[in-house]
Amino acid sequence: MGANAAVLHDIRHGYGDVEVLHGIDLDLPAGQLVALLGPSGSGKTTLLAIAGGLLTPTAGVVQIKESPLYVNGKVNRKAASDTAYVLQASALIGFLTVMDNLLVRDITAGRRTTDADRERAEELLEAVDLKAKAHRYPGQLSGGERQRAAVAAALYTRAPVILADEPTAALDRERGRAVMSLLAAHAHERGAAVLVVTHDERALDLADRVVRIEDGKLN
Amino acid sequence: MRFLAWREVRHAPVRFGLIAGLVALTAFLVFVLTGLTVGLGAADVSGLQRLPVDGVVYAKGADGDLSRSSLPTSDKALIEGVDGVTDVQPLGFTMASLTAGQRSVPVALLATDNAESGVVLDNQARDKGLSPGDEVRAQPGNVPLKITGFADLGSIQHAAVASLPLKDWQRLRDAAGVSAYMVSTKDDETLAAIAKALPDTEPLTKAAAIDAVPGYQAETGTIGMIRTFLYAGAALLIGVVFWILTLQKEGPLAVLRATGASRRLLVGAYVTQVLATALTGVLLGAAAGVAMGAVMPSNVFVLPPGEAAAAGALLLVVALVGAAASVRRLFTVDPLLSLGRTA
Repeated sequence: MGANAAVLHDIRHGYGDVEVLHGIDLDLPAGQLVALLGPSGSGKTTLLAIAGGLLTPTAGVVQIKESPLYVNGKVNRKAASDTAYVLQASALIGFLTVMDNLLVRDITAGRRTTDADRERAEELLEAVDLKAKAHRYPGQLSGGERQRAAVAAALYTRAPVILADEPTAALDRERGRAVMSLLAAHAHERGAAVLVVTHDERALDLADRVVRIEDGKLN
Repeated sequence: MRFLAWREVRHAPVRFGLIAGLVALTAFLVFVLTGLTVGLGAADVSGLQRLPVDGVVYAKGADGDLSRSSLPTSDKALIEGVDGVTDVQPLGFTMASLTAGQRSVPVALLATDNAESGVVLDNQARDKGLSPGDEVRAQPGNVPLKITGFADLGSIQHAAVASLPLKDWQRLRDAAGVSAYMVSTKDDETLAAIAKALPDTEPLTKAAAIDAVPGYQAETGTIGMIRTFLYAGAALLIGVVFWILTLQKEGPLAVLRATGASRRLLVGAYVTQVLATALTGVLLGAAAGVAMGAVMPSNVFVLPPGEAAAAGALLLVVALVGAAASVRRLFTVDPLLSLGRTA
């Protein structure tokens, strides 16, 4: 087991007077895929949002590679840049081609894309069997293809912490396992910490660790 | 930011083409109205604009209307005696017609002491079938005059200026007086001194004299008001269109924010899109406006490059003002939407 790439300590979050996360502690070791399993409304997506800097918790500490993700209630952009989301298939940017959905991560990070970046993007698309469709728009892909494109987009960032939001949703068993295999391989081969939020138990055998959340508490 | 702006335009060329088309139609109207404002304004007052004077002294009560002004020739010496006056020239003015056989050409007779003998017409009268050497008769009065040439004299009240010696004009009017006096002065305060020294006169600066030409203010004011409403309408139109466009892409914007895009990047891409779309529309509208101007009479439509550039620049500013309403949404878009929820 590698060092922890991300640490969540005593995370609490509420909406108004209602607390939905009740002091969660979760370590994400480098080189491991952790599956976070739970029913709808259990707080798993809220926890994922907090882990990536999209939602400031009411209380608690998030550390990404030993740097605090939230400082004085504000997101530490440097730490946040070490995380990347695998968003659901519907969250690809519709006006960008599949290739540009990968390269846009450089643009948003203020980097100029190079030929080497394009080659790496092509390699990733080849790995998810989408190289031939690199210049198509998301609307021209099937649901499974869009999900694989979303995975490739997150992996393109080389972020040490990958946060996946229901990456197997709406995929059949075979496609779902393929996506989970890809994420697991990324964790094992690249040493990234991967947290997968899911309620799909069909590919849990590919996870290094399974954590269950219910009513805002880890079991 | 150009990457995002251009990729979106490339993905939806029809959508952005329609927006540019809307801007082009608005710009076309703005350019046509600008050309009409300048053209009609020139047709109303360019004859006065060309006079090398600082002010015009009218009869009291004429309200700057040369047709209603009449002063005695004896006033010239009195005006010359006012401190600060450097030159005084009598001016005769009558709206008239020049007839030659069946032809009748409306003109603004402008008589001065130092005019050439005969009558010199503004160039636009060439198109009316008159030529140097033609004998014409000035109506009313049926006074014979000989056309001695053409020059760039301009127009007054939409009639070509016809320059003639003061004595011929007085013969035509069968009167010894003048309409007004053109004065050159050291400063505008001299005009007040003239009014004080000659209580039966009404001196106006050249600019005020131009504004006082009957119909000029109403004409340019009406078109100016239409232009103002057009600019306001353009701002509203562009604002609404980009507002809807921004609402429609809230999802992609949230994803971009979730992937680390700064607000500055999103706003930059948005402003680039607005400017590129508006500029395309303005250029198309300008081309159509110039084409329209080419088929309109030259004494009605005049679109100087400076005026066109100013109108185009104002439209771009108006587009940005209209689109500014959506900038707030760019700032407030919640990256949590990328996870399919708000929290």
